[in-house]
Amino acid sequence: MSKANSLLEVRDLTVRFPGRAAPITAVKDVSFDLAPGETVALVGESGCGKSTIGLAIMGLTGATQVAGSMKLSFKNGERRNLAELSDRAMQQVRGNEVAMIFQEPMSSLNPVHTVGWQIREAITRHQGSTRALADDTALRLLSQLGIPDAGRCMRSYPHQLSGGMRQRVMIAIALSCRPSLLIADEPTTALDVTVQAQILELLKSLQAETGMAILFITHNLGVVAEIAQRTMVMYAGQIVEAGAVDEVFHGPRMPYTRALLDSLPQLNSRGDRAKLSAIPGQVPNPAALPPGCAFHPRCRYALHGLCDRQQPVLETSVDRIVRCLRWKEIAMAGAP
Amino acid sequence: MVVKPRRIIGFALVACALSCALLANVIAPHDPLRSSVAFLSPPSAMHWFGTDELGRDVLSRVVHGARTSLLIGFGAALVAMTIGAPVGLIAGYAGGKLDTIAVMLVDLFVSLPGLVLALVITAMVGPSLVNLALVLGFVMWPSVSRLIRGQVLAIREHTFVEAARAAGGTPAWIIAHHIWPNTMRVTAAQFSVSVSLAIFTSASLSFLGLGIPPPTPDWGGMVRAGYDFLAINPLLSLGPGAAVTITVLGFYLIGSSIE
Amino acid sequence: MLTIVIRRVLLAIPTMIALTALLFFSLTALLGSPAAIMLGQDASTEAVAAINARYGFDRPLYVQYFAWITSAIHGDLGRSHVTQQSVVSAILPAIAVSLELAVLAMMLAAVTAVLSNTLPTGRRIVGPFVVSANLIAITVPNFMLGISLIFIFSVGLGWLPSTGWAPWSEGAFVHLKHLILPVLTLSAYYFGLFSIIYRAEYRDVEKRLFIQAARAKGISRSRVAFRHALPNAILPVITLIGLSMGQLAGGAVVTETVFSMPGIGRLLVASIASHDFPVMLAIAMLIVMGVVVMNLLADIAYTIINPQIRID
Repeated sequence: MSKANSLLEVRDLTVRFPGRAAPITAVKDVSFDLAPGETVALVGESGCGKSTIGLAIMGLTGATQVAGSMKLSFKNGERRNLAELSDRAMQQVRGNEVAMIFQEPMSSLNPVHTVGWQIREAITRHQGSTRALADDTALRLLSQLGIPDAGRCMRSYPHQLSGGMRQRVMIAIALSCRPSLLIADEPTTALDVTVQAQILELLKSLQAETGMAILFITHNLGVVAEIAQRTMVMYAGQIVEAGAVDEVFHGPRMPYTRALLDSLPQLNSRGDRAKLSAIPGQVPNPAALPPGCAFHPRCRYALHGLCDRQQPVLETSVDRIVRCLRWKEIAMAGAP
Repeated sequence: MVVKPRRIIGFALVACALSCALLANVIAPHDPLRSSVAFLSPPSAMHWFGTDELGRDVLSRVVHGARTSLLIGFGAALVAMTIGAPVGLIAGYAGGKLDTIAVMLVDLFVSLPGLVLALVITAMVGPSLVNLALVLGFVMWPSVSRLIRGQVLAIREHTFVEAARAAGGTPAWIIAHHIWPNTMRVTAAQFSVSVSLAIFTSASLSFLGLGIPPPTPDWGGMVRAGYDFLAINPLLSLGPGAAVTITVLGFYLIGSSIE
Repeated sequence: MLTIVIRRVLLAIPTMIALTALLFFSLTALLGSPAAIMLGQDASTEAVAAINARYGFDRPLYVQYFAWITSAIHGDLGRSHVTQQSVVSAILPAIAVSLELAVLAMMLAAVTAVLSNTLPTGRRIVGPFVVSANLIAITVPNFMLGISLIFIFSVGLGWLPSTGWAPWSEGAFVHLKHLILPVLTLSAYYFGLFSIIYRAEYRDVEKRLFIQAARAKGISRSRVAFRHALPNAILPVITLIGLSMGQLAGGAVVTETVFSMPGIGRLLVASIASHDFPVMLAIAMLIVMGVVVMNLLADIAYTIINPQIRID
């Protein structure tokens, strides 16, 4: 079931880390498609495996077992399965076909090299330009990203720049070779709210200009609404719901999604008596998942005998995916 | 206690050395001080390591040498701990000017070449068992205090210390009952490493001629004496040299496995 | 950065004065009467008085100290009691020998330690070997290693000489051939030390986000190791090299003795054995000054290399 024009086609992606007793499954049977130019948000709490998916696509998960396929349409028209490529071959892909930006702008930049050096490195790696040409490209990129005095920025070291500037530098590095897919792993989480908004705007305008797709990984639902067209919700290593952002946010089918949305503080809550409704319980330890549906211990619709025995499978309707045994009944009963 | 190969090997080696020291008379095949006419004889069934230039059995001398080395090692480590631990505890806990001055002095001391320092002082006071233990302990205490101070700084900020302070504990009481017990691990490790270093340094001093005077078997001194006869019987030097290495390694492994 | 450097240098000067003074006073105090040391305990009072007058030991200590310092600045460190030669003429060539040995040993130790712990393939396969080698390197006493090497390569195989010093006049090749074993011996301990510190630091650096970000750029593993990880992990090693050079300010006493090298270390031991006070004092003072200077250089080097300190 592959879409004709999908940029990235992920099928049954499973990632296992070596654990103390047995391997821990961080990501289980994840499948999705990314069309060129679209922004898809991958949402979930910490530890649900969303960052791992990003790293798996980049081939940076380290000494772990990665199963499944990840077919990417390259810029030159070829279509190859990233999971089959050697590390050497992946080095051609990283930064060039697929780029990644990370959460902590300060820690993502090497403290002992100037910003200019680091941008140049990305450019010369894939385009083999001369230093002058690389500098040129870098300067243009930085100005485009809204950095005043790009020249001075190039000569600076990371610790001399502000958080927002560093993140822009990161984006410049990521975009320097015009990748067709950008994986953004919580790029705004460590930033001030105002800077956050700026970066999101920046990403949207860059996307409009370059036509690249963005896989936006975050735990912040507010950001999702701002930037993504489609969203996938993850829990305990699996996708539990997916669909257009509007549909999922206004009509969540999976109780977990519902609970996530409910836990967002509402601006027009009834006075200061209204409590934040947190999801009871804790994210399960991937090494010791509950039997049956992984969410059932925290789910207010859990049916004893059903949800704690059977593992829900993915049900797909047109562009909508749910992993819940009771979603139809819950939807029909109306939202309590 | 977690089983680590490092620790096991360390204990095994130290056990060897300790048994030699404690049971020297039982283990050693001959009297280490008895000279004979058969000097510089090669290794044989009767003399596994051969005999030295005075006809004494080398193996027995190596076994007996353990006693001196271990005594000096433990003695020096004790001295270093006795001085270094209180200094580290107090400086670390007190903080402020006292701490800053202590740190400066200790840093300076630590950067001096220890062997040279020990050399000069030993030369002046004369090499005896007690003197060597004292001098080496004196050379080692600053680095011990530095380590303990580091531990104290880490522990000091924990809430249980704050709680003790809020409950009205005096600094002395808090140090004795809260801080010190939590530095035990580091202290034990450091003790073992200090023994290792003391034996290492005292062997070097003996090699340079500043060890326990003859005829007491002394590893470093034996290496020095045997050096002249390296071509005739290398075991005269390499035997005691290996003994030093094994003992130093053993204590070091134990110390580093505790961390 | 310049202000930091100047401040450090200025701080070093009073430190040096304080330490040399402390050394001076404690040496003379501990020795009791230097004259008695030099002549033996049962020397006649006239002999003692003669020595005192000749060397000025009867003056107040602080006067002696200043006199020593002023002469030292003018390049005069007194005369050896034993050889009657100027101390400077005895010390200078010895310093050259020790310095050459120390520098070569440090370089070998640093390069091997860093390389064996950085090369990507090396680290996985060679790893356990390096860890064991480190342990042995820091526990084997110099004299044991030196004598073993002599036994194998000199007595046994006859490839290398058993002494560590041949003057340059005998030719560069001969000179270097003599240095091979002593340099190996001396560098062993430092190899272990540097390796342990660097390995731990490298492990930490590897976990940092910018390493993953660098790989995400598509850069090869070895480039990430050498251009991204190494420059960050090597900072503590640089400081350590400086401090270690300070430790060798007294020469590598044991190594020089094993290989019969005419260095400062062996000179110190000899002067102690022959009760040659002026030489002892001069060398001890030099050691203290050397330590302060090397510490200062290590400090400055760290400040220069680390951009986070160098700039603002």
